[in-house]
Amino acid sequence: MTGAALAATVRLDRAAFTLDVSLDAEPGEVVAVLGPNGSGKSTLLGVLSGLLVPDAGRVAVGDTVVTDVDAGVSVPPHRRGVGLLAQQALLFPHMTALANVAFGPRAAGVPRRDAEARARTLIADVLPGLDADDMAGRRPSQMSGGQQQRVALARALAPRPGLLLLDEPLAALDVDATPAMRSLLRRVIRDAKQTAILVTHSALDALVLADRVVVLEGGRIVEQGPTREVLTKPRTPFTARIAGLDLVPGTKCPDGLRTHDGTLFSGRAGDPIAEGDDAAAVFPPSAVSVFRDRPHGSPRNVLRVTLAAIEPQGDTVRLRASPPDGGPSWLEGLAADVTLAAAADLAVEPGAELWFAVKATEVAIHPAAS
Amino acid sequence: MSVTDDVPQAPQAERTRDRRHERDVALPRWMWVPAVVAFLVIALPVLGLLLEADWARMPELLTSEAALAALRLSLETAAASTVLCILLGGPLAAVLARGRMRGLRTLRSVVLLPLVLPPVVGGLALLYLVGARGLVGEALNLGFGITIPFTTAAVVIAQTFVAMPFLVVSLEGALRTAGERYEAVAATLGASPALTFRRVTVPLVLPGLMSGTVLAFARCLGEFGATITFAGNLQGTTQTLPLLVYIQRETDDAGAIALSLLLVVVAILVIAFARPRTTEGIR
Repeated sequence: MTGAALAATVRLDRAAFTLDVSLDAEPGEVVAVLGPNGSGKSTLLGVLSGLLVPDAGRVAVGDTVVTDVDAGVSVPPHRRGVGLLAQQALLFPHMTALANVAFGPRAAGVPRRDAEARARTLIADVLPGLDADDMAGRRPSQMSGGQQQRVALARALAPRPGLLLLDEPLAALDVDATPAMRSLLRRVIRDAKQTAILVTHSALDALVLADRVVVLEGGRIVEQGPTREVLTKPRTPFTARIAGLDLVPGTKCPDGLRTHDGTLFSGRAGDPIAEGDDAAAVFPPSAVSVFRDRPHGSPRNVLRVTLAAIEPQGDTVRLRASPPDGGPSWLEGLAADVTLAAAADLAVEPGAELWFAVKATEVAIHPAAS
Repeated sequence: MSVTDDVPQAPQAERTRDRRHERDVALPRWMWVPAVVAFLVIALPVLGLLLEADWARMPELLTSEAALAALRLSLETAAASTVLCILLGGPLAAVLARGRMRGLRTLRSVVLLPLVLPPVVGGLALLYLVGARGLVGEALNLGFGITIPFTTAAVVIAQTFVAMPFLVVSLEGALRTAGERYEAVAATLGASPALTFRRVTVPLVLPGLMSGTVLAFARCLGEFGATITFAGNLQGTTQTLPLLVYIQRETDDAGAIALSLLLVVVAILVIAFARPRTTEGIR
């Protein structure tokens, strides 16, 4: 049943928030779920896998209704055909890689010989360039973290789930192991038309792996659409941050955007927006110039900020802003990317007062999520 | 695509084996004094037994009819009680560790009772429950003509009563440490709860189960108070080794010491068998 469709509408009340979402996926589609911590991503995956029982709603995988609260349907996790790859590989420590991967097919009643043959093929597939026979006989403790996660992926795929849940599958890997694992996921999930829900914190993962992005905040979907569109035209500060963009919320006005405290932010509108509608000014941190004294000259947006943090990022340095005393709260988290040399020239410490300047031509005004 | 660049982590053992170059940073020197005293408190009495022993008569003392009968009864009843502990206490530990019912905390405190209760009190409680006039005892007697007190069955029940918490506590701890994450993964792979229990849970907690079993067995072997209260002291039927030691001490010191040393040897074997498994897990 590889590549089943997903149709889910669920509500689950937690102390901190209520998860209340509708999430669909077409057969073979990969949907990325983004959202800050505590937004309900893990709860959503729990409901889909059957490990959590929702308070209301209906979940269908392919033609099978696996959860229907009104009708009293609650198929247990092991009969759903919903696989899970978590942040940790969680390979069974007392079994070899082969036994781990063959576990699912064996549980489904596949004869040992066939299950192991399938497992061998999958192990060879996820660990190319290595001696598959040698790897198959190893215990998890004899494998690297990256290798374990690859075997865990093979194990999740082995029972041929209709739906695969990926819960930050790259988050716990070494920096060195991440790109290869990401392209492996692309090959075995996206190219193989495996329906999947991918929970991630990384815009790159979403771009590489997902057809569509859903952004959760406080248990609700605040933004969704094709991956590229959502990430290049974010409508919420969280999405902007994930996408590595700066975002200033406000309402549309003739010259651009007016923030809630009345500041005018100049920019150009990409999509048509009615005056007075909720909007967001979006610009890349690289478009921000940074000064110690108030700059003069060409027309641009000038913001007085307090430096909150200095984050080295390879060749550049990212300066994070926070509002100065009495300043507007939307300055919180705005980022400016400057070269190492420029950062050295500024010679500032967190807490210093700075000026961020953005040319109006660099600022795009988008309709915003209200 | 390269997957060989990240090397396997060194196994735990390799990282902790070599301590020659490390310096103590959390061990004040004065601590050695009470530590040595504590060790002597435990070791000296055993040494005393060894010094007092009449080695020449040892074979004769250990092979007396009463000694052999007691040894045999001790091993048999301890084994039976341990099996009961596993069959009943194993599921109890699983329920305590995995159950989501309310009131399980209270239940757990009850399970710990035999650990803190004087065994004599436990024996009395059993006697009043299963004794001739007891709640269950009377029903058993009238209904089936079964009398439990002062039989070998009573020995097994008394030992199970006192040893059960040892198995439940160590197994429950192992179950909690192992967590439910592996079991959740097994479920998403299509394994039913029964299959998950057999192929995932039990192997993961095997070290805890082993040490719990050994501890329970040792506790059964040493059981005295509950047994003598509930089962009495009849040679061949309810007279286990500790009971025989106690009786012999009044008439024949050398015999009591010989039997005590036998129990010491059994205890050392038990520790040697259980220790490595309690201190290192599968992972």
